[in-house]
Amino acid sequence: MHLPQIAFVAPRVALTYSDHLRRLLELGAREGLIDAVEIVPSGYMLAGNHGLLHERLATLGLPYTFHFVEGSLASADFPTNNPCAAMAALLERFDPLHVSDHLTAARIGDEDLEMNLPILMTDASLAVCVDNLEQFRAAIGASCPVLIEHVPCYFRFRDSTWEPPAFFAAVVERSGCDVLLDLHNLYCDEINQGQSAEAFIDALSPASIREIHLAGGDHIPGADYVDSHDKDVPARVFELLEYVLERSSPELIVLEREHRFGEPEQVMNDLGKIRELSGG
Amino acid sequence: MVELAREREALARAQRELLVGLRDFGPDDPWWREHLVDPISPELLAYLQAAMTRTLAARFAVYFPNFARHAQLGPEALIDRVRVAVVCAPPKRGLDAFFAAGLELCEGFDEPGAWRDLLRLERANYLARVETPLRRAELVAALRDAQPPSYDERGVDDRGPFGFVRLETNMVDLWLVPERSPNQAVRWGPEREVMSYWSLARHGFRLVEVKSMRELCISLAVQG
Repeated sequence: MHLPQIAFVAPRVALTYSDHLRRLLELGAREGLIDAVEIVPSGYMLAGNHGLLHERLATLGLPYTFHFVEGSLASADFPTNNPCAAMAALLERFDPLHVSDHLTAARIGDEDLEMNLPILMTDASLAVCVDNLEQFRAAIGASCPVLIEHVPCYFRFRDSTWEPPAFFAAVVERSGCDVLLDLHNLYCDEINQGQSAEAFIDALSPASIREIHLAGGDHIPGADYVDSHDKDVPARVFELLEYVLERSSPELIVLEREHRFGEPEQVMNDLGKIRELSGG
Repeated sequence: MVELAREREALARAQRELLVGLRDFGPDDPWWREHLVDPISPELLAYLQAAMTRTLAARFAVYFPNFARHAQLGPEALIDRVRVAVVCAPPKRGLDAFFAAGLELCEGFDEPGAWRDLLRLERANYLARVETPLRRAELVAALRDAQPPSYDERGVDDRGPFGFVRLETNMVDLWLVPERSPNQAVRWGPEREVMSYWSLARHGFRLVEVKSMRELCISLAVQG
């Protein structure tokens, strides 16, 4: 009996878009290292700025994904305090590969720190997160997959009753969202909290992992390792990429490099390594 | 559903405590020991506070780039002097929050009227950039129907499809030569009462004398 052959489709590789990186992006595309870009739409969310984003995307001519940072999807007051209307207006005019945001609680009422902060992990917060995500998906009306990203656990709450891998997996399963797996966030947790990155990955359904983020970070002198997006990707993060790719078939891998571009060839090296490992 | 609403209330209290703590508490505050498995290190707290300050400074500069540059508002100055929550949703609330904080900041500067004018003009300019433009005919019609401006405590009239800002000094030259600071600008001429309206059609604003404001606005709009 002949089994049907399933064609292997290599994931797209993307770099986070920044206007001052346009030449680097064009070079990466020309050399076949990237075939998509990640857009953080914060600066384009107002209607008057949609045209600017259109112009920039047209110049690049690459598929793109939208990675939002304003959602604060675990906030207790998310149903009445969210930017979904602006996101929906943006999505009406664009056609991203994926839409994603973070499972964090950086905003309550008028307090908004715009950061990725660890969240309380209890049965109650799980119920709130799942309800928020249902409302999020309905409100933004995306026609593409909606992904959620876990954030680094720089600290843990005494009142938490769930471990991070099980909590995040439960949110994913119950909400029906897919996963943006950030391997550098897992690396931070491995260093700072001793949490096994592989255990986090294994807790997830392989089919739910649709996008992967890679980055480099920094040691704060005398303290934690942080997700600063300003260094080369550590070797351990590439090991984790291999581990994930043996188990799942993400459609997109994004290199998040947002600061310190003094040596662009190192960024290109990281992109080349991603290409090599992902079979593209 | 009632139960979830109750859960949300309790969770909101806990989340607010964390946000306030990250912004205002030192590493020795008992809150950290009571609520975290391991106490937060001074270095990590400093890193998180610096990151939030950079976000604050970047957001402020998006709304008011000239004000931030002329006033030399670095992150430290902002976090020390502008204790304002960073609000991103809806975006207009963020603009208003920073505008109010900026007006407070102006009180500590020399020539506060000039600094307030700069802030008001930048607010108008920001809105002109992000609002959907009116067509010329719509703009003229709106101006003809406009009530005389009625300014709030911010020196702004936001009621119509276009807005008015009250200026306290002669800022025309400052705007035309933006590398000059407000302190220099006010030395160029005597203070006089002028007003500005921003034209969505032209993505810019106009300055006019008080006594013939409406007629001049219409005239300028028609002239394009």
